[in-house]
Amino acid sequence: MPPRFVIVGHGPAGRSAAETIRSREPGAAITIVSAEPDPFYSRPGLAYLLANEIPEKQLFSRSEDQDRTLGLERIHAQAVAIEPEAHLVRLSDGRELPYDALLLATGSKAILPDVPGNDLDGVVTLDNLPDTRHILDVVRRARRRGSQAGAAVVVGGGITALEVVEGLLSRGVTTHYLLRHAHFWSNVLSEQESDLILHRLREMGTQIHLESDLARIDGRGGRVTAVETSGGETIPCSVVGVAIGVRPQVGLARDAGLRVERGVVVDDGMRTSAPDVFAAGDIAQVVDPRTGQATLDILWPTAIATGRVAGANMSGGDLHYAKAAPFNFARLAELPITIIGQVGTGRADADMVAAGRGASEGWETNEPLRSVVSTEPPELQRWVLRGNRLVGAVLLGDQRLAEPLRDLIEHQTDIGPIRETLLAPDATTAEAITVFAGLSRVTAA
Amino acid sequence: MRPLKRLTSREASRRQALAEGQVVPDPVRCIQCGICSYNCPADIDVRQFAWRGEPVTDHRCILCGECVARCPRGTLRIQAGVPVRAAL
Repeated sequence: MPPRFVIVGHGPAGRSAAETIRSREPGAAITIVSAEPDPFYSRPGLAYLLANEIPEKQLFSRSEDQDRTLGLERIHAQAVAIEPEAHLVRLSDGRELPYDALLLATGSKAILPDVPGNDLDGVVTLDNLPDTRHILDVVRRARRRGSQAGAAVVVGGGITALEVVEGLLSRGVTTHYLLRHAHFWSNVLSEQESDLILHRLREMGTQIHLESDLARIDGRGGRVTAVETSGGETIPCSVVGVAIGVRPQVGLARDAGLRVERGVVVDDGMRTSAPDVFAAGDIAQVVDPRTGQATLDILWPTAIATGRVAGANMSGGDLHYAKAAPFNFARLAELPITIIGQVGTGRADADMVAAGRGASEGWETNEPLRSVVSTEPPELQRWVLRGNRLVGAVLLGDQRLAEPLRDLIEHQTDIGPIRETLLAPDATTAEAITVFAGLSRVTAA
Repeated sequence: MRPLKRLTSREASRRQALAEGQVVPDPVRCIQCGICSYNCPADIDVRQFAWRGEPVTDHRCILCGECVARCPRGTLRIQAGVPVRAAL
């Protein structure tokens, strides 16, 4: 009998695991269980669907034919329980799936604000494709009813909140953005970086309400009609976009008795505490060898990398996941931004109750690190040093230094020879970084 | 060098560089949104190359740069080939 592999979750971690297993085990039975009815799609791409840059069908990167060729069986159901002793997964439709190796790749889910009215129709998150269809549907319906009702209020921080703001703006929706304090994403971005982004958001037409919080959501007939803020303001709207953070979906693992902290605890082979059960993606809590800390990454490339390691090890391999310096690239207020390594400001982010999508806990740091800022409006570059090592960088605008800086941070290169240049940024700094990173690469090779 | 010869020489070099150039992805940046494939005038499914981390080797690629410019994550770049002959 061929080996049976079951994968719960069809995001990037589940998908990369499935394709890795198939490349190693041509005859194996591979079953992917997903609570979503759609085939594999790009979750980060939802922002571009919302902003009308691509049609929905473009999000599906794998055709039905490819799935058939790969011999992947897809089941649309909720996995409700796993029994590690019996090597069995129970589904919501009553089915039982026996496995030889199981991958949990259940991802994370957006948190809703704890205010009255949070269950009204029109309160939306940007978690998945059905959510995005729902946002577009609410916007369409509201537009039919009149312009005032078509307004939206967005709360939260990080990349997702701005994706919702920018998406709604591009759909012609009057958009209000509430921030609890005076800055955006304050645990990761400096005040200067936040100011630049908020300035651009205003220029794009966003109505930003600083030091303002969601107090309640009003509705009529089950639908959102307005938001009341902590300052007593009432903003008529039909959409409330929420991006206050996500939580890893660890319920299945916890109920099955697996070791769970904030995420499912795994070793560097993505093995959980139960035999033949693996975890990857947002839910996998793995130790960063750089810091010794177990952190969660809600990042697409991490999900793919951990999925590949899990897939290989499920099918008899012996791969070790080497956690890289957390890295992400996004567009915020139409400005490209790269965030690498430890860049945290040491402050808390009042707008988030948990890590957001596209963020890594590894960015945050409480260490007193030395930050250097290079400004050339509308661009900002910041690099963070610990002694003679670069440990993090934020590039807002010009991206030419992204790769050399990533190289130097990733390889923990001794930057002694250019340290003084980095501490006094001027026109020659960029050249020094680029040349030095190039030389280091040659030396390392 | 006379102006006409200089012009043809430069154009020949450019063509050679293009002929040997390729669109190359940085797979860590790619989130498989498909904007590259959607905007490719030659209908190449660029994102499949990006998923595999391979250069776009499809013969229909004319290096127009549309996918490079449209990618919202800075995944793609044109890696120009080194011209074998600098001038004719």
